[in-house]
Amino acid sequence: MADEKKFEEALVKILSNGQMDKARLSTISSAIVALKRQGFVIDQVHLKGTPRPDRIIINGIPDPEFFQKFKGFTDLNIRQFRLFPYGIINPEGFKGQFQFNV
Amino acid sequence: MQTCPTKEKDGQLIVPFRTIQVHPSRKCNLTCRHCYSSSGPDAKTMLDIDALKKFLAYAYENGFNNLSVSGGEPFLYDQLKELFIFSKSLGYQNNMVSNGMLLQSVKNQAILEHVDLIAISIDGKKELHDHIRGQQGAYEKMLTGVEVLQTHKKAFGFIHTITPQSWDSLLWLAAFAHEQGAKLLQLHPLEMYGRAMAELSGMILDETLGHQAFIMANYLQAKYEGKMIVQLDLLHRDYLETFPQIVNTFDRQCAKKGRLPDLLDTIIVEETGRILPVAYGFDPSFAIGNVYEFNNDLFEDFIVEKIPSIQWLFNETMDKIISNKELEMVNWSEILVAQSKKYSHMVNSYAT
Repeated sequence: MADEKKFEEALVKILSNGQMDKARLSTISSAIVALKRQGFVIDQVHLKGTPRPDRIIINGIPDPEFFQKFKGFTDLNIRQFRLFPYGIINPEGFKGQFQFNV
Repeated sequence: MQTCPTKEKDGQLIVPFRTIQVHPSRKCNLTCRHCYSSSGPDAKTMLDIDALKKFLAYAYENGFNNLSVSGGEPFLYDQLKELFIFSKSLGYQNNMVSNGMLLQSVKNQAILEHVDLIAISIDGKKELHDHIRGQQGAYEKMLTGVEVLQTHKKAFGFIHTITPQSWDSLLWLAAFAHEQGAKLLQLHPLEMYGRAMAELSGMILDETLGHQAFIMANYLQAKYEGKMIVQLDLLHRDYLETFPQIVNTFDRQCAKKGRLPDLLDTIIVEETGRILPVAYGFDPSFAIGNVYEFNNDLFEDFIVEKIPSIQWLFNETMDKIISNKELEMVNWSEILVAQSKKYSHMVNSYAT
């Protein structure tokens, strides 16, 4: 837990204090999305480097449903719907979560 | 009632949601600085419940199955309970977005049993929340409302509008939401509509802030995996390029079936009765019709007259996004609504 808190403080600092310019932010975002495009769920985002954090490591684990969802670009990918217009909550994601918990 | 697509999972038929977002009134107990519908205490118009019920029945028969009530503050709509009882009797999933401040009343608590999911708006820590809401004490009242939801064991989530003032509080916000027992944390970038244009014009989420929110949201999704859904309403252009069907319904196989819910995920009913496609703020020239005056050919006529132009608009917007290499963080609905206004004159150009 202490490590997590330390990491989060460092992450906010890196993202907000200008140590990382827009190009580097863009690189990290692209790395995240590249993993997602290949069918990975982002598993961990953490920092590396001593004495001060200078790298962000992004881990992904395979999404077991990903390839089924996107096979042939069928409509089954609807459960991946990630964007709702303003003021509309996403019952798809919520429903999925709820079912897993039960 | 069956809406494409469907699939079997563990013996259950999965039917995707097709949403009707209803704004029964813009009356609200608050005048939030970022309110996209410019709601407030002075709004008077209330949607007639009988007209709305008639339309909901028609829409359900034609494939819509998810009701999302917004506003204004939905608890200020006198017929909210009647609405939810009716929509549930048809088969709709009932959802609502609320500021959570009016949940102390017994009358409003009685409505909760007819609601599947309620999302409470939160703008950040106490000081920022009260500032954006324009009312001292709004945060504390919202918290009291959350306690009511906890007491009633009602499934709930939080919706947060990301602003330049709030993005670095997302860690706190996610921890707060999880501690409160929320199942969902939805993060939506500030959009320049309604009151936000006048009150928060300097606070638009730029590309850098978009990246900051994107990276942070992905971290939070990993952190709360299996505990709480963290959803960011912002897409990376590269992802959109690979999977345009996430937002472009016309790129789905389903669209070939040609029913309105196969072509549009969401339609909007305003307090005036006007029915809009896609999102609040979509240009009225593309309107589907009005709940006060429609016949059983409403959707079919709309498909013939306006869907071709809307399909063109979707494709044009997608091309614009993909070809703009300067833009990596994409708020699809915001861009699409802006495009609908730009190209409103095209509404009948592609009628079949």
